[in-house]
Amino acid sequence: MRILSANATALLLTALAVLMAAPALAQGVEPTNGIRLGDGRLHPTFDLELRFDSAALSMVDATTATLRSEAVTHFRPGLRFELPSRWVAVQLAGNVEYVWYTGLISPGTQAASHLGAEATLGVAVNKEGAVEFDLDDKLRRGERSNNVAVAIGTLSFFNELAAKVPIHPGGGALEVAPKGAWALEAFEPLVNAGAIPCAVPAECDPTALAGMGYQQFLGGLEGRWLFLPRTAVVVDTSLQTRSYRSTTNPSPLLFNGTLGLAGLLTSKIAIIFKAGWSQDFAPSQSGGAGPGTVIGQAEVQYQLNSLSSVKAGYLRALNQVPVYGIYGDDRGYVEAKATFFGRLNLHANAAADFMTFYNAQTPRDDFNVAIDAGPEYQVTRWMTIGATYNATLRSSTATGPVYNFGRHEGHLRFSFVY
Amino acid sequence: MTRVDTSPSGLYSFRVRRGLFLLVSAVAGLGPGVARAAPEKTLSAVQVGPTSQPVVRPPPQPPTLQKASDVPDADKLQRCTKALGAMREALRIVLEKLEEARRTKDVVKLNCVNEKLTQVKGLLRISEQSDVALQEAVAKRDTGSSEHEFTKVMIAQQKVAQLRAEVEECIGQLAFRTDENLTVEVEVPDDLPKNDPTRPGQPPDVVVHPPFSSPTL
Repeated sequence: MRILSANATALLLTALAVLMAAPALAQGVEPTNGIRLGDGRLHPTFDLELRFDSAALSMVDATTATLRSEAVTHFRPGLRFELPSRWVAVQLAGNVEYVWYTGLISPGTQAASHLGAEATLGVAVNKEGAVEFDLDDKLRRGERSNNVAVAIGTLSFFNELAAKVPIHPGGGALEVAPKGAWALEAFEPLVNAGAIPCAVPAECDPTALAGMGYQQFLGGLEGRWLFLPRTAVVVDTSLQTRSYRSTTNPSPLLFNGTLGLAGLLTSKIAIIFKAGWSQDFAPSQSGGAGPGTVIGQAEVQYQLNSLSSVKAGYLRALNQVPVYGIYGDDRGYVEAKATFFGRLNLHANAAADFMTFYNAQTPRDDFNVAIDAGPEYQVTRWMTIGATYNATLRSSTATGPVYNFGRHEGHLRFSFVY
Repeated sequence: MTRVDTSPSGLYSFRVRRGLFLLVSAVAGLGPGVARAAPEKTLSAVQVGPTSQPVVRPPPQPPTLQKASDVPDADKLQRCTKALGAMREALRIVLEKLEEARRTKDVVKLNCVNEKLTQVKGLLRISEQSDVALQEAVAKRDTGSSEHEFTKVMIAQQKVAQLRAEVEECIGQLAFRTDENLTVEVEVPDDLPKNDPTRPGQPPDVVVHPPFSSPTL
């Protein structure tokens, strides 16, 4: 019994052939992307992201916090500029986004809608010479921040300007790089709905957020000795301090120093192994010496091929934080990424952070687990579709309902680039 | 203006003087070599064996010099003929090296080999003249002249052997000399990571995103 006529079969095969060849056809028709600007290329971009957030809003009373979910839309136009050059290389990427809490699931969340932005600028001067100069700037405005002390939704404006002077005479096997950085961060409440009951009022009071704003200064020295083509002894030292808007936040004088190995053990295995010491030279709130501890990082990465890898590692560090001055972070993490057929990218990351807050009037330890996984498919050279699942689990020994929450987010993203 | 004596005797004298000058120059260079019991090894040929270790073949050993007065006349003639044969063979090899350098269009190699070739040709010419003079001296039973001419040929033979070794060094060393004609192809494994693994960068800080909280909605 004939299932399809000859004509239908031919039509089907032709359609299949066209579909399979569509990406190749598209590539063959499209010229090089971007708008030529001198020796560089400017690429306009646009992202449309649809997000489901299971913990967009937390309704809090004295003892409980009820999480409400919401559908959130991100509109994100931007641009990228690349100027590769032996003398001055420039890379600029930036976008502005409007985050729209639609109110479709939890009416009233529209008040959290806001404008966000992100930009990075990298300038490298005389990269191939004996003395190089690198200037980098990162700017970010949004709901995500490094302020691990705060327990309420926050809008953070962060900017960091960093400069480095890598000196690598001769063949570049030995490199010494003095560095410096200046950063500032300002906080404002995402929604000013009044103070929330919690262990440390400053962490949950929208009116106290502004006082957590700070300027951070960092100076240091990095060194690298390539004793094999892709393996090096690395040393990193830095001294950093912060000056907060509110003097109730302690200003640390934090020294970090590590020495170790980074690079390829074999063509498939890359490692980072660094160990050192971190010390806060500012006196503690109790009058004694500031906290100090062993720090380090141990990481192993297995390279399946040039585009796919798996890595696992452990990190121990001391970082600065408002309210407490210093917190210690012990992190275990795994990351995996793979690319198939040159178009389909898969990634999966998981990290668990054990955070210990020093100088605490009331002791506080936090545990934070973050999972992030998803595919991304390049449909054409100018269009990519991606989906991501994020899960966050936060728990704390601090009393108060807002410190402990679990969050599930699903993203669907359409990215366009010319 | 310098007056040149073009009579046969004058020319012969000039040629002898030039030959002696060349020979003296060669002997001055050869002197330390003559005093050595065994010549030093030179890299005349390198082969890469299965274990990838270079195998060095020592250059041909020139005959040790013997006092001319201890050599009978018949032996002198025989050894002189043999020495001339060896020098002609050396000339042939040097000419081959010259062609090799010319084929690779390497000017530096060409100049190096040419310089040695000029000296080899000069010494061979002197040796051929000395061979004729040796035969005359032996026929006349002129011991002094025969010893003198025999010594000249033996010294010239040693010098030619040294020049032949220098030519092979010339080609061998210059083969590894870096200049604008040298290209190096680096085969990098395909599966190496694209980023620089010796620059791991700062590990990312913890990023928090607490939900916005409200006692009322």
